[in-house]
Amino acid sequence: MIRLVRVELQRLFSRRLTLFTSLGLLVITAVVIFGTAHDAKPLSGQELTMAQQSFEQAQKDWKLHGAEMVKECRKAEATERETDPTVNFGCDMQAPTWANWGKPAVELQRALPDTLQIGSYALAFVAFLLGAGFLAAEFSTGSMGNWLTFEPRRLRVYGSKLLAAGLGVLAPAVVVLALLVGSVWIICDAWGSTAMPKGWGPPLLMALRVLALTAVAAVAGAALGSLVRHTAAAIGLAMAYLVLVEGMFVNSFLQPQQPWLLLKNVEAWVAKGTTFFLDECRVDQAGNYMCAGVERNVSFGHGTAYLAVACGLIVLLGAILFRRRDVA
Amino acid sequence: MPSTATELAVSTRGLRKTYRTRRGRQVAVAGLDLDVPVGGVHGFLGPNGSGKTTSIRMLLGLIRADAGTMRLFDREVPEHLPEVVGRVGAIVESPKFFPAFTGRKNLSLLAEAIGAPSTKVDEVLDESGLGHRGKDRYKGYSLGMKQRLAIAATLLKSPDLLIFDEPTNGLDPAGIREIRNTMRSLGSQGRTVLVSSHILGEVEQVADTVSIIGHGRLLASGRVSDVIGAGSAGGVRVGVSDPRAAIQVLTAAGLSARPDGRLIAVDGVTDGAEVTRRLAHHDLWVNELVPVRADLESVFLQLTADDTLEADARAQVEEVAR
Ligand SMILES: Nc1ncnc2c1ncn2[C@@H]1O[C@H](COP(=O)(O)OP(=O)(O)OP(=O)(O)O)[C@@H](O)[C@H]1O
Ligand SMILES: [Mg+2]
Repeated sequence: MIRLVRVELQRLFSRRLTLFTSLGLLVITAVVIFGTAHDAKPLSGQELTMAQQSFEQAQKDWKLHGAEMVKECRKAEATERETDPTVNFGCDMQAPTWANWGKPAVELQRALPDTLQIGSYALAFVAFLLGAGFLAAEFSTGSMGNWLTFEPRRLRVYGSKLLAAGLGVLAPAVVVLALLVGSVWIICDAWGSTAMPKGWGPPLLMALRVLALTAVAAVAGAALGSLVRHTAAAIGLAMAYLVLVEGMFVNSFLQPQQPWLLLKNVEAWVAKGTTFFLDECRVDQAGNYMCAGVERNVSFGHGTAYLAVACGLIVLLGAILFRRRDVA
Repeated sequence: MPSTATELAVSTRGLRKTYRTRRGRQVAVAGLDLDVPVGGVHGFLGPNGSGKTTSIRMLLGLIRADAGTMRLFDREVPEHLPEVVGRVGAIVESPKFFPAFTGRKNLSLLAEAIGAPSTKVDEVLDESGLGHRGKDRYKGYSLGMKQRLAIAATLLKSPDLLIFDEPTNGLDPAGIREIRNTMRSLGSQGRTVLVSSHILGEVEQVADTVSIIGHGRLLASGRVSDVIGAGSAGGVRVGVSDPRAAIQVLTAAGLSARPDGRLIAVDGVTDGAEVTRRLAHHDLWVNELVPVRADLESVFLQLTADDTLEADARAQVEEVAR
């Protein structure tokens, strides 16, 4: 079995698709880094001057009319409270501070998880693609039949291919993660703060979770590739699902079902829990139709269990069919 | 049916496979009993669509049989296939490898998968005459080169049984002769070669024993000469000055003789001397004697024609029954 996995790894890394997708992954990484840098970039000299002027103007206004404004506000609030005692006009206005003007400096502590989160989607998608192509190509070229005349123990063959896909994607994934972490650090060091009050533990664990996600995506892709036996079909299925279900329906009738959709659970796994918004609409006593956004949680445990079960099911289904099906 | 006392490389009993197609069920193999003795070249002969490839796929565990048993070197397959697969090299239909890899890379992956030493790769590449072309991509190979690579791959295992499914398809005469020589030399090394074909001449030239199938069933099997003898017993055609008298004499002697143009056809005799002796006894002198040698072609056509008629008749019966 170890020998088979080794051979499959060799084959994986000899494939041109592997090379191309790895290059593609580097491009995506560069784009993500560019995006992070763009968000983190401090204001230019001219922008800074403008912000300063606007701040000074606000300070001047506050000195002249501040007290009066608060008084007016309270008066209006009091009038309104006669009919509805819960009303809050937010009249505790403060003098303007510079911290609220201009652009806050970038912090490694926050930028790192955000970047890892974005990177996780890219890695998972590419890993899925690699895995699917790895198995499907073997069926569509017919070389699977030849391979099975050398190793007829189908479950071993299946297992070694899935394992190789899962292990093989770890190498490019580690490179990508290192690039992401390194460049975010450089960006924050240059333009903000690299302080990590909670230490490096949480982001490193997050990176490990992204690695695991990448491997799982590759394994699931390989299993799907063996089921549909055609690279294009596997990718088409995945894209159709992502665009239709996770892209369109999720905003309409599938909104409440988000805890059972893929992307939210990926997010919950990578970020140790996540939230989503739900429109809750009702007709109130006065007969008005009202909608309000309610925040709901998807827990880390939920995401973990969801991904494990989903991947397990597709691998199992793939195994059953791989063992039984005729190979032309 | 040959007894199982002689050692058999391949043996199937009642092998069946039905494909589900859009038009309903397609019986590809219908209770095939195939025996291939160890050693030498065994032809597996049948017209297009008679179930040769399907049978081979079942033997190799690539597709599942609906019914029947199969043995390779006396081990039940597919249950014990892993134990014997190392002794079996096979090319099913056309060679199939990873197109973007070089021939050499394809072989070395296979070699590593079965734990063969990497020196073996160059060995079989040279042996199959592919040599330096091994460094080219497989998709750039000509059909003949692909076929050679496939043969090289089967030799990685040093197999005792080689299964070639129509190995000369698409090859030029030189390529065909080369493959034929390869098969002969493998057969004479004590290995068993099972070669399927719908080309009779090919099998006749290379095979020691033969099995003929049609519509997924065995029609005849045995030594090539025996099968030819049994299919149409052969005979001689003789010319005499008084054919009428000659026919009387021969018929009286219990031979089947009939006029055939200006000659007399005597069926069922292989030894012309017997005919000349009897005729000379009655002062009928033979002025011409032509041995009629039934070739595999006529046997084949006769067998498969019978089979078609039989099958048609059966189909009609089923129709009526409904
Ligand atoms: N995958 C399949 N699906 C449906 N029917 C099939 C399939 N493969 C083969 N058949 C049918 O099974 C029958 C036997 O086919 P098979 O390929 O075994 O014949 P063959 O003897 O190898 O023919 P040839 O000499 O043309 O290679 C044919 O009628 C064929 O149409
Ligand atoms: Mg065939």
